[in-house]
Amino acid sequence: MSLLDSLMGMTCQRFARHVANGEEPLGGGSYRRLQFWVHWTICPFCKRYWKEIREINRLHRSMSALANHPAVPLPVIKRRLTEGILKRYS
Amino acid sequence: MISAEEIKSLIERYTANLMRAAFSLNFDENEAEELVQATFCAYLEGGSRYQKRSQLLTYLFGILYNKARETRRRRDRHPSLEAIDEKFDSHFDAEEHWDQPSMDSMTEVEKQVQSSAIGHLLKECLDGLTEIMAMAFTLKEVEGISSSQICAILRLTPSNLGVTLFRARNKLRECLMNKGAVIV
Repeated sequence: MSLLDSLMGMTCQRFARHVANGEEPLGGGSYRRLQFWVHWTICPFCKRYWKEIREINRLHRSMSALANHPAVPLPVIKRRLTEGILKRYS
Repeated sequence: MISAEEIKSLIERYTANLMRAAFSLNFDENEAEELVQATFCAYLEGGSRYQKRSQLLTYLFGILYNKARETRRRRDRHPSLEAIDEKFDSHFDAEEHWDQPSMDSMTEVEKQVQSSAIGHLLKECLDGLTEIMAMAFTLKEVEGISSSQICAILRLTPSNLGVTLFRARNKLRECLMNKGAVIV
């Protein structure tokens, strides 16, 4: 097996599993990471999947940031919580 | 006994984080407020159990998660987790390459139209996650909590956390695709 074949030894499924998992190291050290990025470069479908997962993460962060602006303003919620809890524990 | 000033400070400091987590678990505003109140009450009633080895916010997330589970268990049912893994595997052929490549690219105009709707769709899709998936995903991506702390809150091993995030992201992706969304 040539070096080039070896560098292209990562499968799409393994690539995608690592992208969505995000927690477990690839194993195999820097050579495996190199395989990962070689695969990212040559496989348009995996690159798209990688972008999709990143976009889902980003969208979730953006949507959650909107939760900082609920219909009832946060100071009102805090005031209600304070009143309710103080009443209960006073 | 905790003083009124300490209670006010607690609410002032942590309400926003807890409300965000409750929203991500797809509770509406009233339910989220109730959940946050129940979280503070549980902390005040069992505060002696809190050990200062962890941050208070981490401890509160743990309470909120358990309260959310109790509530959602009563009202929700989810498809089996294995179905998500099977769906993921079905995208690959015997050589582990994509069997059905993803969607076509969009034009810039299409992207603008899409982006206004996709957030809405994502919210709907979040409702399809189990509470542990939604909580792990939110703590990781929104709150920026470290993996070790998430494992402590959700009582997961690092390996299980990886699997949980893997399933959450793929389930969201599948759901968005099924709704016709083009993500990138």
